[in-house]
Amino acid sequence: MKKKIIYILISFILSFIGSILFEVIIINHETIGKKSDYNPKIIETKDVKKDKGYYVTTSKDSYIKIKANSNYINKISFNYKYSKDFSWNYSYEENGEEVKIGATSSSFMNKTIKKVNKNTNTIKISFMNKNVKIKNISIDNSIFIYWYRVIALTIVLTIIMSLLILRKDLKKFKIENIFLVLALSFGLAFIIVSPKHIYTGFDDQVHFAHVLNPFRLEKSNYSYAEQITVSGALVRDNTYITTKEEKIEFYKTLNNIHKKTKNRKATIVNDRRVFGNLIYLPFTIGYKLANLLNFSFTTCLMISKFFNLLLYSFMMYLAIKYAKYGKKVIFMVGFIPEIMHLASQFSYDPTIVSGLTLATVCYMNIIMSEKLDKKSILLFIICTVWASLPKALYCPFLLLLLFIPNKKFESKKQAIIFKLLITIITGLLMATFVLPTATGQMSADDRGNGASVSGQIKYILNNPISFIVTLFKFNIVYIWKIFSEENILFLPYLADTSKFKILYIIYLVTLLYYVFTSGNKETIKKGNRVLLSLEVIGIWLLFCVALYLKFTKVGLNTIKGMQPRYIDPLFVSLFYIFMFRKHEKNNDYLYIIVPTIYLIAIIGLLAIKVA
Amino acid sequence: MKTKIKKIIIPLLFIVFFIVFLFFPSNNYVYKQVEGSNVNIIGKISNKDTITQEFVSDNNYDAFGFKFANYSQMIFKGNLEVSIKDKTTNKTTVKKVELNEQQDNSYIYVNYNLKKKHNYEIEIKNNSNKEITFYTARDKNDKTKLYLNDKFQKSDLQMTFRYKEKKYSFIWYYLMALFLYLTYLVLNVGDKK
Repeated sequence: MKKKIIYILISFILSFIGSILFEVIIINHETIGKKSDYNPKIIETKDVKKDKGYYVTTSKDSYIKIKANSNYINKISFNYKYSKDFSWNYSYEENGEEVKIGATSSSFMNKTIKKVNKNTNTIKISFMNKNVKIKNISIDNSIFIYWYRVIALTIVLTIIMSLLILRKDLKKFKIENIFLVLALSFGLAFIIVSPKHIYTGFDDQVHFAHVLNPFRLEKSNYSYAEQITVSGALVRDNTYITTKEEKIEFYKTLNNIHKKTKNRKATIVNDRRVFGNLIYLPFTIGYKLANLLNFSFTTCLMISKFFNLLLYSFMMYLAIKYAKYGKKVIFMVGFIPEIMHLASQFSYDPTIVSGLTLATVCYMNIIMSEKLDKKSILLFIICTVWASLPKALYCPFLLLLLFIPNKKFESKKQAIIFKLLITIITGLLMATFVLPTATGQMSADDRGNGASVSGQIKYILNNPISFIVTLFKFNIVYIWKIFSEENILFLPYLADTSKFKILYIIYLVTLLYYVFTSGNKETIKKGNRVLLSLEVIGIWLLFCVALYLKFTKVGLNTIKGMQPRYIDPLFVSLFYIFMFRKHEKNNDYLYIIVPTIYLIAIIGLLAIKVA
Repeated sequence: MKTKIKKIIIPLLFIVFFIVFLFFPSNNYVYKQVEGSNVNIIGKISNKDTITQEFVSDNNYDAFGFKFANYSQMIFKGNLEVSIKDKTTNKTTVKKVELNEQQDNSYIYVNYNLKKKHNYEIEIKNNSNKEITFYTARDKNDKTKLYLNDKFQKSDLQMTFRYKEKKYSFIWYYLMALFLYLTYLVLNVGDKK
C-alpha cells in the first residue's frame, strides 16, 4: 500500500506538470514564439490630447490608431480612468474590410485586455466619451497561464490516475469513504474552475446576499466588492469581461476594493425569514472565518462554498454508510452532475437533497428494524426539519413517522404522544406557508406575469374541477422531465452541455440499472412502498399547487415556474419504491466509473470555456 | 448530571425564554411607501445644490426615507445633511447620513419621529464631492412641495415612512424548539430500559 501512496504522489506531480504543459502548448499555442510590444507606435489620433502621461479624449468621436512591430496581435490592453462605465470599440482590417468589436469598461476597474488573435499590425481604438484617460497601450502576445485551470486539471488528472493505481484495491475501501474522497475532490475542482463571482447557479445572487446577512441585521458589514458581486451587473453583461486576463484583473479589483471597504456598514436586503436562512450557516461560517483570517475576497468566496460542500458530502456519506441496501444508487444520486455542481456553488438545493436522502435512509432503517430505532428517528426528524426550513413544502415527509406500528413503542401512550408531537412539528412547519396564504399576506412572485395568490385561490374555489384537470394534464406532460437532461445536467449561466447527451443517457441507464438490481433479504413491505409513493406524489403536487398560486396567471390552464429539480431531494425515496430484489445483483464498479467520466468531462468543459 | 440537564436545566430555560418572548417582544419595522406616477430623477445633485421637500405627515412614524442613486460610483467620504423643520412646532433638527453606507437605487432612511398631521420641511445638502440624485414621483396634492435650489418642481421626492410593530414571530422558534425537545424526551433516547 505504501508503494501505491508513493505512486499517487508521483501521479499528482505528473498531473501538475501535464496541466502546465496543456496550458502552455494547447491553450497558448497561438502565442508561442511571438513577441509582445509594450510601446507600439501611435500612427494616428483624432480628438486626443496628452495630459500628465495620459491620452485624454476630447470629443465623443475620438480614436487612437497603433501599429505593432510584428504582424500578429493576440491581445491589446491599456489602463484607463473614467468616472462612469463607458463603451468603446477596437477595429482592424481583415481581407480589406474593417472588423469592429464593441466593448464596455467599468469605472470600478482601471485596466482592460481584449482578444484580437489576428495576423494584423494595426489596431484602431475608438471612444464615444469625452475625458476618458488612457495610458500603457500594449500589444500582448505573451503566454498566459491561468492557474485556476491548472489546479482544477491537476485535481481531475490525479483522481483519474489514483483510480487506475487503486483499481484492484477498490474492494478494500468502503463505498462511503470512496464517495467522500471523490465528492470533496470533484467539488473542489468545481469550485476552482467556476468563476469567482455569482451567476453560476440558480438565483445565487439572492443566496449570496442571504449568506452575508442570514440574521437580517439592519446594518451589517457590506464591502463594495460584496455589493458589486450581489448586483452582478459586470458579469451579466458579456461585453465587460471577455478574456481570462481581464477576469483576473476583475478579481484583483474586487480583492482590493474588499480590503479597503470590508468594515463598511450598510443594509443588505434579505426578505427571507431567519429560520429559512439557517441553511446558509455553513456558507456564512466559512465566509466570515476566511474574512477574519484576512483572505482575499475571491478566496473567501471559494472557502464559503467549500464549507457547504463539506456539509453536503458529509450528509451523503452518512446516508451511504447507514443505508442497509441501495448504497450504489445513493452514491450515483449524490454524483448527479447538476447536484454536484450546485453543491459547489451558492445554492441550498444540494443541502436539501442530502438532508432528505439521509432522512429517507433513516426511515428505511426505522421500518426495517424490529425494535424502535430511536437514533434513526431522531436523525430523521433533524434532517427533515433542516431540509424543510428553506422549502417548507418538503415537511410532510415527517408524516411518514405516523405510520410506525404502535407495537414498536414501549407503550401505546408513548406512541400516541410521539405521533401527536410529530403532527404538531409538521403543522408548525406548514404554518410558515399555509398561514401567509390563508391570511392574504403571501404575495405572488414578481416573475409570474399576472399572478395573484388571492385571485388564484378564488379561481380554484370557484372552479375546483377545472383546477384538478389542469393539475392532471400538466403532470402527464411534465412528469417525464424529472429524469430529463434538464434535471441531470444543467449548468445555469455557465455552459452548453448538450454535447454530453450520450454521457447523460449512460448515466441514467446505469442509475436505473442499480435501482432495479438493488435489494436486500429483508426488503420493505408493500404497504411502506405505497406510503413512500404517496409521500413523493403528495409533495410533488404541493409544489404544483404552490407554483399555481404564486407564479401562474390567474385561471391559466397550466402551471408556470415548476422545475424538475424540486423532485431531486425525493429521488432516493422514489428509487427505494423500485428496489425489491432479494439480493444485490451488481458486483461491478460502474457506479464509480460513470460519474467519474461524466464529471471529468464537465469540469474539462468548464476549465476550457468558462473558468 | 445528564439527567439534571435533561430534566431541570433545559425545562427551566424554556420557562425563562417563554417569559422573555411573551413580555419583551422585539420590534418589527413596517414600511409605507407613497405611491406615485411618472417616476423620474431630480437631476445631478452636487455639493452646491439644496433640495427642499415639504409634506404633512399622515400618521406617527419613527423614520422616513427617500430614494437615492449614485450613478454606480463608490463614495468613500461625505454625508448628506438633512435638516428637518417641524413647521407646526417651529423646531429644527439636523441629521447627518453617511453616504458610504448607502446603496445605489435604494432608500436612505433618517431616524426621526414624525408626528401625525404636523407640517414638515426637509432640506437636503450633499456634503461629498460626488454627484448623486434622488428619485421623484408625481404625487401632487396641496400639502407637498419640492424645490431644487429654491426653484419649484412639478414632482415630489419618492418617499417612504417607517413605523414599529411588536414582533411575536419568536414564538414560532420557541414552539419548534419545545416540541423537538419533547419528542426527544418521549423517545427516551439513551435510556437503558
